[in-house]
Amino acid sequence: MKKLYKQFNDLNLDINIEPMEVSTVEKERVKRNVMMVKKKRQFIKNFIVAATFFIAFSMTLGYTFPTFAANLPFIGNIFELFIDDERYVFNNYDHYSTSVGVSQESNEVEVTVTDAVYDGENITIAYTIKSEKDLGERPVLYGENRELTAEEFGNRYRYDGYSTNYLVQKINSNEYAVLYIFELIRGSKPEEVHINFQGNQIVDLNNVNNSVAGDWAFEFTLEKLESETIKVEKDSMKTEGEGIKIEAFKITKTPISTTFYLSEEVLVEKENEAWRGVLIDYIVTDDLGNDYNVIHFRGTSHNTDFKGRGNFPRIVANNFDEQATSIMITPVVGVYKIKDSTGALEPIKEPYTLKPIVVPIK
Amino acid sequence: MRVTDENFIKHLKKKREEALQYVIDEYMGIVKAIIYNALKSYNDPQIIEECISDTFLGAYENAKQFRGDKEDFRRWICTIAKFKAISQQRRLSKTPYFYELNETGEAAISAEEEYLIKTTTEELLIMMKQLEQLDRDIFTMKYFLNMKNEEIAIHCGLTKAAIDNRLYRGKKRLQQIRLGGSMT
Repeated sequence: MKKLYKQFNDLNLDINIEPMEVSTVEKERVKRNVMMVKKKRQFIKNFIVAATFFIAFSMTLGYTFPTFAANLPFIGNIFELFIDDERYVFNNYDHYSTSVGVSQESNEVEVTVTDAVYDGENITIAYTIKSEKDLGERPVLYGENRELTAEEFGNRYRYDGYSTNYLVQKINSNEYAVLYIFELIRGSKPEEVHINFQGNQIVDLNNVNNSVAGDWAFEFTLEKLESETIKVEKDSMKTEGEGIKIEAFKITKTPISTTFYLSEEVLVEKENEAWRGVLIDYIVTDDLGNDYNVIHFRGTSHNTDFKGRGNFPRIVANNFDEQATSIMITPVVGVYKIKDSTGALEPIKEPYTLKPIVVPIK
Repeated sequence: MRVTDENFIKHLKKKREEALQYVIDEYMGIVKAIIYNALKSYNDPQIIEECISDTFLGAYENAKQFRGDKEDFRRWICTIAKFKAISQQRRLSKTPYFYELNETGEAAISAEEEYLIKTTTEELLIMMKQLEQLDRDIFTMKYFLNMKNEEIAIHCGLTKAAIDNRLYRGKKRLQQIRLGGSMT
């Protein structure tokens, strides 16, 4: 059979045909099928070697036959699945992530943790969920007492100081890929974390009544990536206007992302004694006109019930274009009133922007 | 390690997974087009995707057989795709797929032809070793890539009559080899 491929080489056939459109998801499926077959073949090879080895030694060693981590489903590069997600902020992820590759099945749902990465700012865990059951549109692993703990944290992130994000992609009719992002907002950032990642339900984020009970638990260790923190001099990176002052006070760069710590001070005025609230979003761009995805930790909102209380949000963005010399963080201010007795909010006017905070990066 | 279009062939030969991923990213469009064209009548995306995976696996496992640069590689992987699609057709269709029709519109099939259809790829390859290079190429195009005699003629720079002729004699030769006959 080998000869045939050599023969193909000698033929030098030119096949003129227009390439077809291929979606990322399709590519990932193919990568995965290829890897699965490849791993299976590799496994059979190893198995034969191992079996021979054991047969040779079994007379002298009472051994128990090893269980291989076989048939692990493999995603070529799970991170690439999320490139189109507006909260996907991690560049070069695949170069820095630690491969975990452990599957657990419970109640006919198989969860496989493929990779994970920790850069001091976020712990990101990539995993897949596979089941014949109908798990809905955006199923994730959910733990009653939070999914992620690490012995190094002690009690620090037990109740607060963190925030979680889920990016979910449906790969095919019974398989999903999830990126679970655990943001370490306030608290220690250990050099190494021994993680316990577990859940007792698979819940559809789009319909929380749709859930499957079970028991999935994983343990792995992650080293913190190198990171560099810049403390920003007071008032050097700020924007002000209409009773609002926003300032960047700390910036952390890691090989996979850049994080800006901001402080917001907002003076919200009551209008005719009515309650008003203010929420601020951020757009991140650079001087070349590139837009960047962000993961935004909001902290608290601003409203007339709690005047003058500061808020400390955080935005995580991609690594920036190498040619860019400065980054612009533009606040988008939304002002809200209470709509009706249900407490729902509605904007009282179009959101408006303030001048951007300019962060030189060269 | 970064796989680029400069170094992917080298890394693929070393069986690096990253290189395999790179190849899938780069060539999936064209591979899909070839396979889709060959198998669209079966109307089964699953089969097409399987065949695509098979192509890349074949390229990965046989990368050592490949000689040449990026341009050659594109040709090589397209040829593998075509071969995989034809093999799949063979498996799917109960009727042999490469009958040439004669003037009356009936499938003209000789005993040798019949035998070639039934014979396995391996056997055919072993026997083809006995043929000269040109005939081997012609047979590969004919029986593994399902090309028409006209197309083979264009590719080899020969007339269709010459191809017909060579195929005819080649089949006879193979028949003799199979029967252990002496070479004439």
